[in-house]
Amino acid sequence: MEPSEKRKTESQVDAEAQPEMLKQHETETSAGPVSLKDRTIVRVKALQQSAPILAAHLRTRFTAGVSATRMRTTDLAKVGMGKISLDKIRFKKIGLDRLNRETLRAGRDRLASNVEALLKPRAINEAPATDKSISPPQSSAVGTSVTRADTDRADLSALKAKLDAALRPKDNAALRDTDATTELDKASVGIAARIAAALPKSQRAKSQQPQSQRDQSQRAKPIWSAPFAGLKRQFSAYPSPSAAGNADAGHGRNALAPDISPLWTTRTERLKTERIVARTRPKRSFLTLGMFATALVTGALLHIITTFAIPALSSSWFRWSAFDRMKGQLEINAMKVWPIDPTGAMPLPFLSPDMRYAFCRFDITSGPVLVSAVLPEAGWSLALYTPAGDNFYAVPGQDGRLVEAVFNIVPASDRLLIPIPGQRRADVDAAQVTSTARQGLVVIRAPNKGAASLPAVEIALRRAKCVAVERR
Amino acid sequence: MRFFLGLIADILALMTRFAVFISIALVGGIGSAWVMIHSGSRLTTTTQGVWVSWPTAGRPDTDPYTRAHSVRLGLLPFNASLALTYHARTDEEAGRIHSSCDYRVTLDGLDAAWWSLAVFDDAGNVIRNPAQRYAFNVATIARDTDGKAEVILARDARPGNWLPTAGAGNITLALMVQDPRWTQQSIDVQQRTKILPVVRKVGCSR
Repeated sequence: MEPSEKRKTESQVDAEAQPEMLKQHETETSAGPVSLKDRTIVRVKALQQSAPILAAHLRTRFTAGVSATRMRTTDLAKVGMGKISLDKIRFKKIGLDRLNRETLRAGRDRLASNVEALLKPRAINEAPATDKSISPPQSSAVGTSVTRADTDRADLSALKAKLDAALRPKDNAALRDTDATTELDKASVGIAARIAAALPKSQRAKSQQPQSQRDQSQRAKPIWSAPFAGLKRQFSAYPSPSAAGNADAGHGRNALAPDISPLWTTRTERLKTERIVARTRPKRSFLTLGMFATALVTGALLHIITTFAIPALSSSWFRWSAFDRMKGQLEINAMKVWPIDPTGAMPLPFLSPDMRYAFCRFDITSGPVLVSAVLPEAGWSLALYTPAGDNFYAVPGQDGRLVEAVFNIVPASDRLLIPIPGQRRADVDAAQVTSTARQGLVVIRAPNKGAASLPAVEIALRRAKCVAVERR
Repeated sequence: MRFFLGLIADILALMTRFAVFISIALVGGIGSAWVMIHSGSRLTTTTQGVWVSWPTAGRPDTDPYTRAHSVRLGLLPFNASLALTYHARTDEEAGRIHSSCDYRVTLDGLDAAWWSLAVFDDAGNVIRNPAQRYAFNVATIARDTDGKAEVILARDARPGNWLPTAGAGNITLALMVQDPRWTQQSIDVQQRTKILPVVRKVGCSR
């Protein structure tokens, strides 16, 4: 393979790894002389681009660390979906492990070294000017650059202080990654802008490059390839702060080139990171809090539905209610004296066995129903029930007084319209019982006081009436 | 192969979670509703001694639990303004009333216009017996000279007010009181607790 072809291949490989922005820049600047300002701008842009990558990586690692401490999974899920940032989470126990702390430090130092490399005045002043087409830097411009660089160093120190503060556990170790990443972003943008503004146009990059790189540039090698070209070879997984601090020392080809690599540069590194994250991530719990809460809410809904649905279920399916159990054994609008069962069995549960009963299944769909009964003494009673078991009307017997109950069961809409035959108009209102239910039960209870009283009870019950009133 | 095994494992895990979810929902929802409807709670029942009543049973404006209770058990409760019905499933020592033991039910001061004390099995059916004794009321009970009365719940025949319980298993006592003084709250709760019958275990057969 020819050397030019080999270089071309490397260039293509590098080009595949570059961000889209830099590819575009390559197209724009691949021809013609390249100024130091242009080179710097490109590197700063690359630095700017690396900052979000670094921030994303830090966030990933930070999330993994937080997951390892079994923080609130719902919040972590929201973070994962990008709905909230980590600083929205209230950390009870931060538990930031050493790994994450070191990663943050490494990221901070790496960025710092990048900025330092960018600001090195020797890179501007000490490089030999071999390209005659480019005039040497003027002293005033150099002085300006150095002054600005000093200013930026001061800013960098302040940035480091902020990052240190962010890395330092506050109270119960409330470390917020956004503090760090925001500072990283701000620093990269701010410093880049100042550097770009400070560099004079007359400073040419070709004059400060080593011969080997200058030759490459002259062969139209992409100018952005310098920051990226050696990264895959130089970068090791997670550099320690000391290693990151010396990141630019090994750049023999270009002292200006900042180490602006993301924390992983190859697929292997990325997979390694993902494996670490996967290890630190706690196993998904069998039943999450959200799932449990959803189950409880569903249970509450079922509870309410069950409670309210029982009357409807009884009438339509299960035949639980007293009305549903009795209606098959009773004629409509006819009083039936319930016979005595020799075994003592009663037609309904918990129905007092020391009483005689008369039942009537009333139906007022086609008209009112006349009910009449005599309650000779205490213990007797006449009661009207809806299908759901609501006792909406009752007449008790009284001691020493014969109670005669005579009334019409009418629908609410027909009240006052149908008088009882032979009754005065003034008594109509008192002699009507409105029913919201179209059907129901009339129950007459007669106490069983012994065998001697049974015939009289039987006669009184048989005199009770429950008949439909015919409309005239 | 690993993909399909992983897929099957994921599906099984998902189904297990779903089963747990459904179990919580069903047990928590329907189960709690069942307990509230069958046994009641402080929201729907009042307890005086061993006697439990559903004070709003039978009323048209009753709560959903009480209405569901009446429907589910097939009851025809009196309107609480006419009569009150109490049920006892435990004795004074909080033991479940069972047909394997004998109990003495003491009535002292219960002078309501009408009351009735009946014994049922757990499902609300009368306990069949050759003597055809199922209940006592204000007219049929035999009282002492001081007005007190005792009802004996036992499997074998006993003198006095005996209610047979043989073969019933768990037993429920039902007391229905029909008296305006009770229904109109003329008698306060403490007084009622004293008046209501006392259920004491006499002994259990081996």
